[in-house]
Amino acid sequence: MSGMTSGGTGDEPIVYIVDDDDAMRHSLEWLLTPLGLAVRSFASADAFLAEHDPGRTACLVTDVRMPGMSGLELHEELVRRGAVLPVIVISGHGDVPMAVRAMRTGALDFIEKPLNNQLLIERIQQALRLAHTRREETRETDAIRARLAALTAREREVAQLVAAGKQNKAIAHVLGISLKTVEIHRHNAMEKMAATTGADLARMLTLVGGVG
Amino acid sequence: MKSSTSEHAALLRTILTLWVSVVGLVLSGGEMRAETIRVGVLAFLGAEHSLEEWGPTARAIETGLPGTTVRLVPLDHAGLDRAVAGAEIDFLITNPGHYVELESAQGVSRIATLDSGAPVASAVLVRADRRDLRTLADLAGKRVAIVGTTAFGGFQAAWREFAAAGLDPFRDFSGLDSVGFPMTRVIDAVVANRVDAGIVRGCVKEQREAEGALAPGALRVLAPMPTSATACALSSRVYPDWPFAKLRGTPTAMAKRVATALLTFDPPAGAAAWTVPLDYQPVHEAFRDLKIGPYEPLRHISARDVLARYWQLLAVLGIALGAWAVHVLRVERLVRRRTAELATVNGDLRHEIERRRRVEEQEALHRKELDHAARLSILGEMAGGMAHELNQPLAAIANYADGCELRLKASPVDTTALMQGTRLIRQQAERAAQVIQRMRAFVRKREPTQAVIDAGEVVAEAVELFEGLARRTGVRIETVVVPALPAVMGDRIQLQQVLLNLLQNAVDASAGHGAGPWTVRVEARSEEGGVAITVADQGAGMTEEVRARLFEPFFTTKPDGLGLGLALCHSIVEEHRGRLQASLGAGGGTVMRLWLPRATAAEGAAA
Repeated sequence: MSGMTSGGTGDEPIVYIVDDDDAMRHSLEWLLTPLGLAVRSFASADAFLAEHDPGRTACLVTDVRMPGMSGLELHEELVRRGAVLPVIVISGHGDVPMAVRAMRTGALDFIEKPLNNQLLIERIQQALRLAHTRREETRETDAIRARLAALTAREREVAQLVAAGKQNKAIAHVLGISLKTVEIHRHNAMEKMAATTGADLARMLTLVGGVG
Repeated sequence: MKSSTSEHAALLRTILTLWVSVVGLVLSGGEMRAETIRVGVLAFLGAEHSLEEWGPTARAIETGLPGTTVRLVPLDHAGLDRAVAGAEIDFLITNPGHYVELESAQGVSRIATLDSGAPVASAVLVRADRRDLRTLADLAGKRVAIVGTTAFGGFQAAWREFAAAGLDPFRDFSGLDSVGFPMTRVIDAVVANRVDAGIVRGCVKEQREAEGALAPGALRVLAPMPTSATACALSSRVYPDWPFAKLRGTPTAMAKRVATALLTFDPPAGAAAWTVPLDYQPVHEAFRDLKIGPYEPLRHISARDVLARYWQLLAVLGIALGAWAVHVLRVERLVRRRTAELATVNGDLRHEIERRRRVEEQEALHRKELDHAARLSILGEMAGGMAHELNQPLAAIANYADGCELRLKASPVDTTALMQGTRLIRQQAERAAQVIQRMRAFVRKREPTQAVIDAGEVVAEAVELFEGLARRTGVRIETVVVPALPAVMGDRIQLQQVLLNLLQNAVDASAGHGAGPWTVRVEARSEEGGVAITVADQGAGMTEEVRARLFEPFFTTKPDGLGLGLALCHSIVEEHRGRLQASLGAGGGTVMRLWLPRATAAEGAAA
C-alpha cells in the first residue's frame, strides 16, 4: 500500500499520509479520496522523505509514534531541509509535552486520537490553503530574484537607492555620477524589474529581502 | 407391684369423681334465667358478620317468645367450647363438625337444622391449567391451602375423602397452609399459584364466579362427586347443615318454644331458614373415620389396648431384649478396646496422609490463583499496548464509516465503493475481535492442560500479544524462529505467560538504557534434544547478586514490581521439566534462556 497514489498528477494539491499501520493508512486514504483530494501514503518517514515531491502544493498527515523515525523527527527533518509544507501530527492521547514540542518546531497542527474526522478534514483543507498561499509567494519571490539577477551592478545600486525613496539628484550625489547617467540606470532597472513606480520596486525588494 | 397400681388408680378415680361433682354444682347455678336468651354463635367471619347473619333468626325467636330478649354471643371455636362448658349460653349455632364434638363432650342437642341452600361439603380447587392433577391422590407431595384444620366444609369433609383415597393430609402433602377466613384467601392462594390446591366449602367457587370476583373457568373442582343436592361441583359427600342446639342444662320447655319459633320463621330474602333437625350421623361417621373430634382417643386406643392385654409377655420380651443388649455391649466393648491400639496407629497415619493431601491441594489452589493473578498483572502492564492495538482497528472503522458517508452524499452513488467500504469495516471489526479474543484466552481462569505444542507458534503468539506495548516504548522485537522445531509437551497459555514475562522484563531493561532505538531479540532453535528460546535485551545487564536471587519470590528490582513474575515462570518451567537461566549477553544486556525438552514419542501419540 506504500506509495499508493490517488488522483491526478498535475500541480493539484496533494495530501501525504505517513503511518506504519496498514489499516490506518488505507482507511485515511479511503476517507479523503471522495473529497476530490489527491492522496499518497507511506508506511515510514524514510519512505516519504525518499519519494515525495518537494515542489508540489501539499500537506503532510503523520502519526507521531512509529518504528524508526517518529512523526516529530520527520517534521524536524523537513524544517531542516527548508520544506514549507504544513504538517498535521496525529498522536495518542495525553502526549502534552510532545504537543508542545510540535508547536515549537512549527508544526501546523496536532490532533489527538481518537480522530474526529470532521475536524481532520477541516484541518487538511486549511493546511492545503496555507500551502497554496506559501506556494504563490514562493513563485513570486523566485521571479523577482530572477529579474534581479539580470540587473548590472550599477543598476542594482541605483534600484536599491530608488527603493529607499531617494531622488535622482541625491542618488547622483551618493554614487558620484551624473544625473543623466542615474536616469538611464533607473529607467533600465525599472524596466528589467517590471516595476511601474518606485514604491512597487521597494515592495519587490522587501519580498526577497533586499538586492542580496 | 400390681396391687400398688390398683390403689393408685382407685385414688385417682376418687379425686376425679369429686372434681366432676364440684364442677357440676357450679354449672347448675346457671340454670335460673328467663327473660334473656343467650345464643352462642360460631363467628368464623368476625363478630359483626355473625350478628348480621343471625340477626333475623334472633328476632324470629323474640317474636315467637314475647317478652324475651335474644342476645347473640359471637365466639370462636375455643370460646364456644368454654361458653358451653361454663353454661354461659343457652343455645348455640355452630358448624356440623363442631356440633358433633360438643354433642359427645357436652351433651348439647340439636333442635333445628339450617336450610341455607348451600350444601355442607368440600370442594378441592385447582387451577384449570393444572392438567397433572386429576384425582385426589394426585395431591400427594403437593401444597394445599385450607381455612383451618377445624373448618368442617373447608377441610374436614375433604379430609375424609382424602383418607378414603389413602392420603393423610398432614403427612402426604408437602405443605398444609392454614390461611384463615375469609375463604376467598384460599381461592386467592390457588389463583396466585402459591399452592397447588385449596379446599373451600362447596359452592364458594360458584358464588365467587357469580359475583364476578373470580374468572369463570379459572379454577376447577378436583374429582367432583356425583350429587343431586346442588348444581355446584363437590369433592366430598354432602353433610347436614349447621344445627341450632340447646345446652344440656337448657330447660326443655324453652327449647321447645324456641324450636317452634325457628321452624315457623319465614325468613326475609337472603336470610337463612330453619328446618327440622337432621341426622348428624354422617358427620359422626366422618369423625370416626378420621379419628378426630369425639373419636380422637381412637387414634391411640389400639396401642394402649395391646399394652394392657399383653403386658406380661411384653415384660418378658423386654427383659430378654435388655439382657441381650447388655451382652452385645460387653462384647462390643472388648472388641473396641482391642482394636483401639490398631485404630490409633491407623488414625495417625490417615491423619498425616489427609494433612499432606490438604496441604498439596491448597498449594495447587494457591498456585492457580497466583498464576491467574500474575497473568492479570502482566496484562495490566500491557494494557496500554492492548488499548493501542484495539484503537487502531476502531479508528480505521471510523474512517471507513465516514468515507462511506461521504460517498453516499456524492452523486451518483458509487455502490461498488460502498460495498468495499462495508467489507473493510467488517475486516477491521474482526481484527478488533481477535485482539479481545487473545486477551481473554490469556486471562481466563483455567486448569493447566498438557498438549503437544509447537514452540515456534507459542513464540509468535506471545510476540503478537506483546507488540502493541513494545511499539509504544520504542523497543523493536526481532524474532527468529528456526523452522521445524521439535514438538514440546506443555500448557500453551502457561508457556505464553513465561514468554510475556521475559519480554516485559527485556523491554523494561532496554528502554531508557542509553540512546534508542532498542531491539529485543527473541530466538527459538533446536538445542540439547529440545527447544531453546532466548530473549536478549539491550539493558545494563544484571549484577551477580541479582542473578543469584532472580527466581526468589518477592525479589524485584522494579519500583512497582511484585517480584512474582519470574518466580512463577521458574516453577512453570520446572513443571514442564525444562530450565530457565539468565546470563550476560554479548552486548552487555541480559539473555534469558528457556529450554524445554522434546515431547516423547508416547506423549506425541497420546496427544
